[in-house]
Amino acid sequence: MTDMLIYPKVTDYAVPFFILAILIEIAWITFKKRGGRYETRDAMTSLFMGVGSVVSGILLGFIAWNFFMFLWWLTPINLGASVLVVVICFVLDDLRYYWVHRFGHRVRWVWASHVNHHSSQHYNLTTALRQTWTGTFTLMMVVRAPLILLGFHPAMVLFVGGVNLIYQFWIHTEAIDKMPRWFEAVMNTPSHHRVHHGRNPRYLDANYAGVFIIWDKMFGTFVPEVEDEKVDYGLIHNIGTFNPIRVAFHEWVAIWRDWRQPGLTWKDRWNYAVKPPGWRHDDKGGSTELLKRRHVARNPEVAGTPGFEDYKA
Amino acid sequence: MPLHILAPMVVVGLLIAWGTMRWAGCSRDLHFTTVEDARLHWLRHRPGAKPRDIIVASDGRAALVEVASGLWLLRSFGIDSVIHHLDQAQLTPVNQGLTLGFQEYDDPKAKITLTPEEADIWRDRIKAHQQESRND
Ligand SMILES: [Zn+2]
Ligand SMILES: [Zn+2]
Repeated sequence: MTDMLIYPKVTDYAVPFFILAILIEIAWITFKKRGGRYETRDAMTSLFMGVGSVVSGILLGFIAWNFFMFLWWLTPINLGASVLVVVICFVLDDLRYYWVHRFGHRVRWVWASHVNHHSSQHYNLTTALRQTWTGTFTLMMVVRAPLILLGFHPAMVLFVGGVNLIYQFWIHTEAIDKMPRWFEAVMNTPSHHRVHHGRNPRYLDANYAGVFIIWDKMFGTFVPEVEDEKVDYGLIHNIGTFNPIRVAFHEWVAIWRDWRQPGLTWKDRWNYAVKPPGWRHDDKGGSTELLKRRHVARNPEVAGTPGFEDYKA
Repeated sequence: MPLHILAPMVVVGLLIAWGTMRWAGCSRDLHFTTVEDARLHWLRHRPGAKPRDIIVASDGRAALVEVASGLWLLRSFGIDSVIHHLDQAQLTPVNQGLTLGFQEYDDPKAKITLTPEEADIWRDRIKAHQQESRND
């Protein structure tokens, strides 16, 4: 019955709301003189990344779609489209998001796509729209396969994924400090997601959640925003360009250049693609663990505190 | 949503956002007012690498920073800053300073405005450093 399931393209309908919210945030910061920072070129780059991401979806979306429809053809299960099924699909898809996002930070091939979401030194509503153009190349659509094989229609899976992204828009702000306690306990919030965008050693590789923060608590990646440690936004090596093309492709170019170094084995090349960002074949590379270890060595008092639970002074 | 509605909406939205930011004064550049100021910016990027020596360009938009790992450029990037190692930098003298070319795709070049005297000092420092690191 649901072979022709049609849902609105929710991200498109959200565009006027996104623009309005950004204008309100700029006005708020300008008049209140707090609650965040805006810089014209940075914000425009983020917005162009958002537009490019939509264009890339139009151009390359058919690849994932055909893959999903193939799986749908394979599976004998059809759960239908009741409200309950949509809700369950939303929750399971958020778990899917958690893992894709975690791979996005721990597997360089996926990071090459996701890095651009983190490439701004700012954190405001435009940062939410700084989305990848190259998601299709990561092949992370396979993580959605179980959902479709379980009988959730591909259109529904894409719909709840869109709602998930829209939810994440409003949490990209410094204008909101903390939400009510019960909300912070269950949901991803501006505070939790600020941590995720931090380059402070304490905040590295934390809070991968999309909508529900409970996944991070379940899988041991939750770090709360610490009162006396302000988040420093951006990358460990911040990029020096506002050019959207360079922002979109720089890590792919870096992988390519790493592959072309003389004297590499095929195993080295494989590792350059699948090891965490920073890995090098000559052991000269860094890692988030190394950064945390060094930070604890310099500041022994932080050992055992959030983000450094496993580190000894 | 049909493209003939979505596309104009996006273009108008981008223009309004741009205009609003211009109006709100979001288009200023970062300037390093003092050596101490540049030092604090450097330490944000590399908390563990204490600078031994810092020269700030007279326009305040760039600085040479020497640390144990060598000579680095710290430069203003919007209202933020970025750093770059100068080991492999290609120097090109230009009318009002130097252009530094880098290998990295995410930071291909930096135009540094310098007085002629400053440009000489910067060039000598960078050249000397590159000579040293080749000898190592
Ligand atoms: Zn992320
Ligand atoms: Zn984010």
